[in-house]
Amino acid sequence: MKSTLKTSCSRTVCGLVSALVFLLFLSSQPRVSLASETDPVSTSWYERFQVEFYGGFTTLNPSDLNLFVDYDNRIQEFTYDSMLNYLESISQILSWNKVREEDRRKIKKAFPLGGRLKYQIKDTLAVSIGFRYFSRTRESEFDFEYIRNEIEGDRYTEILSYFPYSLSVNAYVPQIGIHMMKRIKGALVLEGYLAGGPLFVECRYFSNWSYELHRREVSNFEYLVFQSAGALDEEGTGTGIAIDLGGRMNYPLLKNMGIFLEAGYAYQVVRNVSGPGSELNGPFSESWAGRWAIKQEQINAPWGELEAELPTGYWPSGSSGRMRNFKLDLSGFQLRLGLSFQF
Amino acid sequence: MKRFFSGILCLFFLGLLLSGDIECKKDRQSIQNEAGFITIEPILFYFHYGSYTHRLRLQSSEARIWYSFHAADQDGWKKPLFVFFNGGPGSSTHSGLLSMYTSRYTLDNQIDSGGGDFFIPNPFSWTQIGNLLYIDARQTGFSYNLMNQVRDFGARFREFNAQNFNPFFDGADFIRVILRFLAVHPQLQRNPVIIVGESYGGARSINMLHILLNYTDYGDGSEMYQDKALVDEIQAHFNAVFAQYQNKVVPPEVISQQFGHQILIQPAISTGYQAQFTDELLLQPGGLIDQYELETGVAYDPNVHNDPLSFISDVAGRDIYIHSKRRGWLDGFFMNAARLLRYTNNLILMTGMNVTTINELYASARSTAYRVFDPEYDLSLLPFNPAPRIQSHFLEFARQETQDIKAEPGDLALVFGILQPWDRYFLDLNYHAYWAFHVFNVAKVRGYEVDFYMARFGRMFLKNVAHVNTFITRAPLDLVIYPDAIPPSLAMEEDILESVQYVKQPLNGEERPGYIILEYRSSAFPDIPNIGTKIIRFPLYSVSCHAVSLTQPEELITDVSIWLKENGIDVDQENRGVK
Repeated sequence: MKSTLKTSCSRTVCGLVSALVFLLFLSSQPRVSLASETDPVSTSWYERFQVEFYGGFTTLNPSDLNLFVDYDNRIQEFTYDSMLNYLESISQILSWNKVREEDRRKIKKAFPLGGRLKYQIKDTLAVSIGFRYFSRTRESEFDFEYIRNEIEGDRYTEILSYFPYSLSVNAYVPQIGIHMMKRIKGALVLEGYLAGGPLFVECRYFSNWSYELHRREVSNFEYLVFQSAGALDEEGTGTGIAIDLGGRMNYPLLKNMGIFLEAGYAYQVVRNVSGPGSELNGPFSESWAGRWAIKQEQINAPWGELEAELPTGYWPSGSSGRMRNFKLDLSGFQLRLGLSFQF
Repeated sequence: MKRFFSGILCLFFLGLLLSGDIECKKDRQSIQNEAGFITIEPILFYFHYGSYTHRLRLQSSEARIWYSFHAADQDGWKKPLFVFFNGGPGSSTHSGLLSMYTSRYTLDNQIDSGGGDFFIPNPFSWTQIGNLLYIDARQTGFSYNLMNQVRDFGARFREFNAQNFNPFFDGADFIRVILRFLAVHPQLQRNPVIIVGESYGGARSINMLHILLNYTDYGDGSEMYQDKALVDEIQAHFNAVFAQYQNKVVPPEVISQQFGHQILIQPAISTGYQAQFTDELLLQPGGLIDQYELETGVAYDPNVHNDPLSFISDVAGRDIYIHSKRRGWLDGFFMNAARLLRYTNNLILMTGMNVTTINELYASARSTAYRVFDPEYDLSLLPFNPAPRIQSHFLEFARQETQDIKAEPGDLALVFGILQPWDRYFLDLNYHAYWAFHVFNVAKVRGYEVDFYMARFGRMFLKNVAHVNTFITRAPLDLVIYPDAIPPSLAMEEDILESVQYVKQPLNGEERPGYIILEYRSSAFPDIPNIGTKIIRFPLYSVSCHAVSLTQPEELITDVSIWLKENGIDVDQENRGVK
């Protein structure tokens, strides 16, 4: 709850800052034109076309996609830790402990790359067409070991391995934009921009796991009692909208080449993710295709109950358990550094 | 012209009548004794608690389940089908109920060394009242599994786990066998099926009936155990039997028209509570422990003797299945039956069929078969949990049988060929299977309620009883299933039952009195309104062991016949002559 609040606050602040930068720029717009008319540098700088390439950093919190991690963590906690605590509390086992290496990782940032072609209508106004791409994969390999000591002195060891556990997203953002500029000091130009366009995304959850159950007798005779392996794969694609709002500083390096630093907020949301999924679980395999939504599972076990939400495209019995639509929210504050070439 | 047409019509109807009669005669005649294997293909099923991504999905091995069918003495086509099975889990039905005064031949209960060297005619054969189907559970008796990598010790070891052994899948196995048997015997397909389970067979009956009566719950995610293929098979059977419910959900009150009777011989029902109350009753002042302390001069000490049953067995030297007899008395009968069944002629006699015509019995047909993971059957490799007496008793039993099965006695190897070292023709008790239920069970380790000692099974029993007429034997000399512990163990389910009345006096002048009267709460099961009162027949067999059919066969078949008649199935018991 706290983290959600914090995220939405930081987004609001980013948005406000971006809007403020843009408004400040607009309010100073008339002076830009005047200045540019009397400045020989400006006339030589603004050619009709500019090509720009940039790379950068963006904060991300696709909370619905990251729900895969929350769900898996909660279920494991419930089906292993809580169960073993329960068995210990009713003296069915003597004790237990867990050995853990690494953890499941969430997507929190990405590094966008992009480019645009700008058409300078006049010194203070340009339009652009551009394309941005970013991709992020959080992949890890790790094991959990649960060791339980039985009352009679035997020991069970359960080894749960993931190789890999991954969450990934790819986004493709073609945009058109409007840019307004003002020279502020010497060759330094301040620019505000507003761009928008469709957002094409691919996302994927992939968990490849194995499970082993070993038993060690009091006599130290140890053997593998059971083993299984499987993989759960959910792939989704969807289309949404992306709107960028921000400001930037341009600085000429050479006659036809400049450098710029952009900062702003990108609203990037997709609400219609759908795609294929598949499960391998020991001897079982199944595949499906469907629209992703958030499912609520009600888990009732002898040691307790758990309500857990997970995103999925698997809806074998209609919309049973469907809680709400899946929203892939890739919005975030972006910082980009780039080069521009004019001709 | 009119006459001509009338003549033609008459001929036509006569023809119809004759063909019907021929068909009918054919139906009646075609019910014959038979024995063999029913193959159960690898089955995919899963356990879950509501999480899709964390289901325990398992696949069983292919199994050849051994059965023998004994047609009723007369008019089998209109008689019920009694389905017999023993318990364990891991015990064979053929060295149990089949050999103990239920079929046409039996061990001799007058010969104390285990029933003698021959099977003798049984004057109390249940073929007088119906058709009999005996089924050996997976890997017990003559039933065997098949697997790839059969030569790999580790792979064989891992076969003895939850994918082949758990109470739900075990119940599903039996349902599959019954339905497949009925499907190829259309003369019997609609007849009442009466379950006769002994000991753990009580728990098996609970699972079978709960699955049958609530079958859709086992395929739509409602129940912990999910077996979609089984649900489809049950629906196909119901389509054939209840035509008005073609591909529709058949309600339990309709299903109980066919599966509406269970006869439980010294059953495990609410096993955990039963064990708890048995200990309490044996230890109460003036109880059996006091009696044996006096007799032996040894004081019972829980730290030394583990539990009351261990004390009675180890210190007093009594058979915990009939404490008036010496230790091992009943096991002697099971082992002797197993010994005799390993002779082809005895097997032919007991099944009423020439078993040499059964291909799957031959070594050549079972190159990938296995019965045990350790050819040496070295039980020291297995864990030993000394706490529950019954488990150590099973271990003791298996150790005794080990001596036999290392080199199987009898002539089966001569007739059917020499088996692979890990295969066996007959196992009375498959200890590896027994431990797979209790110890080597990933479903149990993963927290699923598959231990039949759990209260879940008692609650399932009470739900079944709402639809199923129930008969439970009451043999107070049996301490393993101590009958006085059954009523209080059912009473533990206070949210289901308002009261449990244990009636020991005759109500209608019965020779062997006994009833359990259950008063259900109106809120007991949301899907069954107003269950009200249910009466379980609980007749007393005062000199019986755990295997009541062995020690009081005449009394048992008489009571069963009367009870069935009282509950809608006239088995013509008055004409049941002693043969």
